[in-house]
Amino acid sequence: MSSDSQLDAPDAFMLQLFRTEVETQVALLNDGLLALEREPHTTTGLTTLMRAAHSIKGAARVVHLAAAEQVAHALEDCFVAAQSGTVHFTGKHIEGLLRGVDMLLRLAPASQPGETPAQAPQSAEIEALLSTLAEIVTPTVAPSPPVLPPPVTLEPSRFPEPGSKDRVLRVTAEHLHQLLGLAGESLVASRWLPPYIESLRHVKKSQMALSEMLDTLWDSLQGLPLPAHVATYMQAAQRQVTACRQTLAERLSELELFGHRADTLADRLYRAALASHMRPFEDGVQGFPRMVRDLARQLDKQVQLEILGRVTAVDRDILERLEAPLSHLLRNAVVHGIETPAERLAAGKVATGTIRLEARHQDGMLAISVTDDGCGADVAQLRQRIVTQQLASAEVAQALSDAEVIEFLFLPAFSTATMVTELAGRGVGLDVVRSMAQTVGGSVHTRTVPGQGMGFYLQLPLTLSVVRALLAEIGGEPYAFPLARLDRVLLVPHTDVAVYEDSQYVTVDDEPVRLVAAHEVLDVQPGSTQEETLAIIVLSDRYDRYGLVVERFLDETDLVVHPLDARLGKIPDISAAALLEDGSPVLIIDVEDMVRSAATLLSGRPWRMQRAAVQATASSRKRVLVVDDSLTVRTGQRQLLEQQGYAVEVAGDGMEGWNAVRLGHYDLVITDVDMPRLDGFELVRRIKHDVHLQHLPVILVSYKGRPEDRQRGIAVGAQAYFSKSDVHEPVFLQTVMALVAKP
Amino acid sequence: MEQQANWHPTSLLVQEQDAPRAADALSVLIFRLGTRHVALPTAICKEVAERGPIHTLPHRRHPLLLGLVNIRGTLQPCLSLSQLLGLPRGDDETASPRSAQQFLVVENQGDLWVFLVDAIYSIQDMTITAIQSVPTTPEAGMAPYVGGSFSYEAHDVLYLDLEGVWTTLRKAMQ
Repeated sequence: MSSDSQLDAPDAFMLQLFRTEVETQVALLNDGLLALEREPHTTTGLTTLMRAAHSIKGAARVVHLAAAEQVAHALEDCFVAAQSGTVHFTGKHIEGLLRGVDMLLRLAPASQPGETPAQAPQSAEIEALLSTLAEIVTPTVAPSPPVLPPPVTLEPSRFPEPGSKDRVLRVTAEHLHQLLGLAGESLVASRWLPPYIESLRHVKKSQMALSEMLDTLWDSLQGLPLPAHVATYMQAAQRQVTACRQTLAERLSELELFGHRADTLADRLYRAALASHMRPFEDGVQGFPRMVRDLARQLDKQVQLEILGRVTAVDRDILERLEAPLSHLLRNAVVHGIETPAERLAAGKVATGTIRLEARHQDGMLAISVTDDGCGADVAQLRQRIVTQQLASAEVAQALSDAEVIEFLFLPAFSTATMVTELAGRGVGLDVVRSMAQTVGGSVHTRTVPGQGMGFYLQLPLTLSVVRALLAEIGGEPYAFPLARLDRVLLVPHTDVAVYEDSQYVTVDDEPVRLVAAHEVLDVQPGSTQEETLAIIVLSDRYDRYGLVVERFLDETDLVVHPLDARLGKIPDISAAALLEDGSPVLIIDVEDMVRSAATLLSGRPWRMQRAAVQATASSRKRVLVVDDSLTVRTGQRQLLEQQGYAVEVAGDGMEGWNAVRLGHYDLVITDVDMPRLDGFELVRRIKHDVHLQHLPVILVSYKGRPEDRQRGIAVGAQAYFSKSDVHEPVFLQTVMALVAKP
Repeated sequence: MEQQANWHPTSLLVQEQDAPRAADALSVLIFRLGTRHVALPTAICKEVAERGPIHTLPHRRHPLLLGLVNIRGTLQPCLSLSQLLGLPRGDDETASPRSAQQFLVVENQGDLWVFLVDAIYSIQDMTITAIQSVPTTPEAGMAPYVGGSFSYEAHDVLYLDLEGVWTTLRKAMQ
C-alpha cells in the first residue's frame, strides 16, 4: 500500500462500508418510490425517502465520491420539494427518481474487489440525470397550477416508524457459528449444576442424621450422673450442628436459585443465538418489486407483485439461496404467465395481472409459493416440446399425465420460451429451482389451471442450522439420522427376519426390505447388542430401500449442525457433526450417501475393499465409474464394460458421481447428461476444475445427439460425447480403451 | 466426588510476563504420554481441557486420527501424539485412567489440533541452549520430532519440535 495518497483516498474498508450503506438505503428508496407510484397522494413515505437520500449524501461525502453526493443531494431536493407540497410526483418523475437510485448503486464501488465494475457511469450521463432531477424540482416549462393541497396526512414523527426494521449489521457466518457454539456450550455447562446441587443435598441429609444422632445421644444421657463439662460440650455441639444445618440450607437454596437462573439464561442465550441465524423473509426479496415492475414495463404488461409473509423468519443460509430461484420464478411468471392487458381483458380478467409471493411456516417447514393469475402452462404445447427436444417418443409423451408433463419443466435445459429473449428462456430451466430445493432437503411442486394461472410451491426446512434427528448407536457410538429422511423406524423380533439366499429381510408395508448392518456400511467395529429385538431404520432413495440394523435407538433430539472440519474432506456417509446435550460429539448421517453405500456393500462389491485391492495391484484392472440416473442404463453399461475386463462402479446421479470421483481412484468416468441434483455438464466441469482430477478422462453419454449438445459437452471438457444409441457400437469401446490406456 | 468436567483452560496457561528473560528463553509445557515425559513450547499451546468423549470417524482408519472432540462448543479433530512418536501404546497399565487424561489444544496457523495426553504437569522456563546441550537418545521413529531434552523432577523430558509435523497431521486427516 502506498502511503502518499493515503490522506485523501478512503481505504477499501470505508468503501466497503459505503457500499453496504448504499445497498440498504437503495432498498428503502426503491420501496418508497414504488409505493408512491401506486398511491401518488400519500406523503407518509417521503420522510423515509428524504432520510435515505440524506444518509447517502453524508456517507458519500465521507468517502469523497462527489458524483454520488450530487445525485443523492438532487434526490433529497426532490423529496423535500414533494414534502413541502410544491411538487407532485407524476409517473415520469418517479421514473427519473428511480434512475437516480440506480445511479447511486452504480456509483458505489463494487462490493467484491474482483467484481467487474458494472458499467461505470459517464459524467455526461450523470449530468443528464442531475438536470432531469433538477427539472422535477423547478420545471423549466410553466409549472402546472398548484393542485389542491393534498389531504393533510399526519407525518409520522421523525423517529423511526414503528415496525421499521432494526439496524442491520453484517456479521460473518463464522462469528455467528462461534456464537452458537459458545451458547451451546454454556447450555451444556449449565447442566452441570443440578447434579452438583443434588450431591450437596446428600451432605445436608448426612448432617441431619448427625444432628439426630446427637439428639439421641443427649436423650440417652438424660438421668445419668454426668460431669458438668460434658453437658456443656454436648449443648455446644448441638448448637454448632444446628448452625451448620441452617447455613447449609441457606447456601443450598441460594445455589438452587442461581442454578435456575443460569439454566434459564443459558437457554435464552442459546435460543437468541439460534434466532440470529434467522432473518425476516422481506430481507431476501427487496429487489423483486423493482425487478417485476421494470420487466413488466419492457413487455408492456401490467403486473402487480404482492408479497405476503414479509416477517416470516427464514434461515439466513436458505434466504440467500432463495434469491436466484425466486427471481427465476418471478421472471417466468411475468414473461410467460401474465398476459398482455388486451389478452387479459379479452379473457374476461382485469387488465392488471397479479403475482403473489408468499412465505409462511407450515407443519414445521417453510412454505414459499409463487402464484400468478396468468394463462397457466399449456400442457399440449409442453407435450409437443418434449417430443421435439427428443426427451421422449411421441407415444410416451401422449401417455404422460398432465402432472408428469409439467415435471419436464424441471429438467435441465428444458425451456418453454418460444423465443430466447434477453428476459427469460436463456436455456436455464426451472431445474435451478428444483436443485436448490433438493440441496437443502426440500421439494417443489407445481399446480396449473389452463387460462387461470400457475403456482409453484416450495417446501423447505425452516433452518439449516438445526436438524431434528433420531439418535442411534452404531459401533458403540451415537449417530444422528435426520427425521425428515427416515422412512420407518422398527423394532423387530429376530424371529420375524426371513433369510433368503444369504440375505436377511423383514417385511415392511407388505414389501420385503433387505437388511444391512449399519456398522458394516460405516466400516466401524460392531458394538454390543443384547436386545431381543433388532433396531432397524428403513432408508430409501429413488432406487433402493434398505433396513439399516443399528445396535439401539437412543433418543430423538434437535441438533445444531456443525459443518465437518474442512481438513477432513468428505467422509463417506456423513454429512455433518453436532454436539449432544451432554457435550459429546455425534455424527450426522448423509442418508443419500448411506443408501448408496448400502447398495454397493450388498451388491458384494464394496468399493472400499476394491480400492485397497487396486492399490495393491495397481496395474491389473482399469477402473471405470458409470454415472446415470437410470438403473437400466447403469446396469447395461456396467455389464458391457465388465465383459471387457474393466472394474466398474456406478453412481445414481451427478452429485453421487462427484462424491465418488473424489473418493475413489478411477481411470475413466462415463456420465449421463440429464440427471437430478447435478447434471453431467456440471460434473465434467467440476472434475476439470479440480486440481487432482483434471486429468481424469470423461465420456458424456446422452439421449441428445444434436451437434450443439456435442459441442457443449466438449466445451466443458469431456473427452468424448456419445448418444445413447451409439453405446453398443464398437467405436464406444474403442474410445473407452483409448482413453483408459493413456498414461 | 470425582472432579467434574472443568471446561475452563487451566490457569497454567496464563503466561507470566514479569521477570526479565534470557535472549534464548523458552517456556515449555511438560506433559506425559504413557511413560514418557514430553514438552512443547508453551507459545503454541492454546488450552488444556478435561478429556471428553472422542467420536471415531467412519471409513477413516489412520492410526494418528482418533476422532472428533468437543472443545468449547466446537468440534475439533483429536490426534494421537504417542502414535506420531511411535511410543508404545499407552492404554494399558502405563496409562492414566481415562478420567485423568486431558486434551491439549495446540494452534498452528489458525488451525486447532487436539492431542490426547495422559497428564499435564507444569510450565517451565528453560533456555534453548540448555535444552539442546543435553545429548538425547530418542527411540527410533521419534527422532525427526525431537529438538532436545532436559531434566524435570528426575525425569528425562523430550522437547518436541513440531515444525514439519503439521504436514503429517494434515495427511492423517484425509
